[in-house]
Amino acid sequence: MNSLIQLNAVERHYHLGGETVRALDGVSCSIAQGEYVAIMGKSGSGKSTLMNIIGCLDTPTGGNYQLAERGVETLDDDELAQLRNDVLGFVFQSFNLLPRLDAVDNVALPLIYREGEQRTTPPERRTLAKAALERVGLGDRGDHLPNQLSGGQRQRVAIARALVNQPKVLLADEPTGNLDSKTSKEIMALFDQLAEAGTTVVLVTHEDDVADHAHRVVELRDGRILRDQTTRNGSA
Amino acid sequence: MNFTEALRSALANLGAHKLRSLLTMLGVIFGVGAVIAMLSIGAGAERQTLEMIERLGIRNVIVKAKTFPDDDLREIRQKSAGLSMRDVDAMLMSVPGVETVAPKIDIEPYQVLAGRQIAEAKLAGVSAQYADLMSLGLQDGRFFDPVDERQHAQIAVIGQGTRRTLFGFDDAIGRRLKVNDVWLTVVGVLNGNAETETADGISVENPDTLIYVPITTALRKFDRRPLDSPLSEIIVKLKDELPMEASISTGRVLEQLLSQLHGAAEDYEIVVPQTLLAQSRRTQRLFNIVMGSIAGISLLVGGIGIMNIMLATVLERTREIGVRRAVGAKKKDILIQFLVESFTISGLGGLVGVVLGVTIAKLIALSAGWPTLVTLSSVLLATLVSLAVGMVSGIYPARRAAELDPIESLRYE
Repeated sequence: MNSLIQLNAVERHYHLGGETVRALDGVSCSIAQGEYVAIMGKSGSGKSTLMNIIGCLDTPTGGNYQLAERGVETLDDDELAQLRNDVLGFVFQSFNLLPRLDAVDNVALPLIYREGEQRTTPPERRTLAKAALERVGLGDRGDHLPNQLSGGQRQRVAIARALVNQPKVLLADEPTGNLDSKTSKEIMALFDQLAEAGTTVVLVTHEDDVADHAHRVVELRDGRILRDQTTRNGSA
Repeated sequence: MNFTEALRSALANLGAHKLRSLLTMLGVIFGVGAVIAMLSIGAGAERQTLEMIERLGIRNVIVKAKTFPDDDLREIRQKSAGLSMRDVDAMLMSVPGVETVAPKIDIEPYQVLAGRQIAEAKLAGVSAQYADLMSLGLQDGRFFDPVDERQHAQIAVIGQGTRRTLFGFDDAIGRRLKVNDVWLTVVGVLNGNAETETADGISVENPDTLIYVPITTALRKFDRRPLDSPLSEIIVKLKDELPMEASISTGRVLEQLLSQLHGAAEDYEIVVPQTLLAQSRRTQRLFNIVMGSIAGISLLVGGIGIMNIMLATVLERTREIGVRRAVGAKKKDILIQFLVESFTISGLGGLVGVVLGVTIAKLIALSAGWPTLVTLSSVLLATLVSLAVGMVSGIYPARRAAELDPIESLRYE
């Protein structure tokens, strides 16, 4: 199987006042199409940095990273933006919906940045956005503003936004961090379902409950991989 | 993200902060309004001057007798007899490029009567060419001809005002009126009701309340004070084929000629409408520069207001910028989005400002009675300037937004 995400000895060093902070210090990891992976670690372990690098919001200072067979180090800012738009879907802990747009417009946001042949007209965007909302079970809430929705519903809208471009990878950063346990379960069930359907899902979390849903857990400590193993779900 | 998309987003954001957007726009609104109102006053004044100068005749030079206190006049009269037919003949003979020279006598009559009706009017003795020279139009009848002049005909051409006062709605042609103790028969009535206008201290007489008689009649039948200059005014018309600037040099020639004839007594003044025009243009330019600067300062303040609010908006929407960048917006997309927003503020402000400016111009015309003229070029200028203000004040905040680090922005609280 071709790997979708290929990290080879990836380093991310920051220079803070003469001192070098090794947020990532030689991480090698490969994630294949269709995998369901949780990246775990305590605060300061480098999991957020890894998430940013996988998400092409940040570039490694050493090693190399291939996403969908493209060397990320070689891309400029515009190409990175394009790659994020094409290949990735982001889900954030605090949802990050735009407060003045209704659910449909929020979901359609990535579509307005599509370029070239992929360019869409406003009616096409609405159709695609509505379809994505259907997928997360919010087909009837399209005209609601974020503040008219519950936390769980907002996160569903955010997931629909991440899905609308049919990304190869769904990247979720603590997706249940701001939700109560019942809603968390529903959201995790949604991720399970999406993974089942073939979407590659990468979760970043510090909660074991959440990580348990994944088929593979990569644990980081001090910028290095501590363990990388298949869970019961994965082997089953 | 294309332009329409950015515009839609900009309008939505402005709509979400209506008061703030309006306050931000006020600077541009007042600036543009001021520019248009100022320029309209300027253009109106210029048109008025032009009209006046046109009535004086752009190719004419006018020589007027000056008035003095009697004591001074006695002294002057020892050197010079004042403006006279001698001057007229000398001008016709020796000044190059002259087409006609038309003398004029102003007389203040002590009474003007027709039957039982009394009118306040001035009498002007003019030559036959005068009507053409001053572009006086006739509603009824005719003007004088050289034959009338030769015969000292006791006839008159009257203005609308005098006709109304003396004859009401009756036909005036053929009727008789008495000025001082001279009976005159009306042969013509002027049309139009031109108003007396003053610009740069030079007034054009209002033909409405004038009674024109042949100059010979005026000279022979009406008494004048012995010290008064025989003629009140001499209008020199240059040939049409001469360039308009010729009147300036003719003015100088006349100056020399009259100085000789009058024994260097300065009992006349020479008015060159062409010079007045140049003066009025200079004044106009100065007015435009001063007023333009004031309006420009208002626009500058408006621009600073826009920049201020745009910087606040960028800060306030840092997270939104992060999200947009994460889902695939390029720096360029963010730049365009905020630039369009700033353009929208200044553009809308400009539009409202145009409406405000036009309204102010109309109100000034109504209340102060100044003529105002809103020109297309002033509207275009104001609109362009307001867009430029939006551009200049939007570019820095928009660049700042575009250069934000997506990771930092997503973390921004």
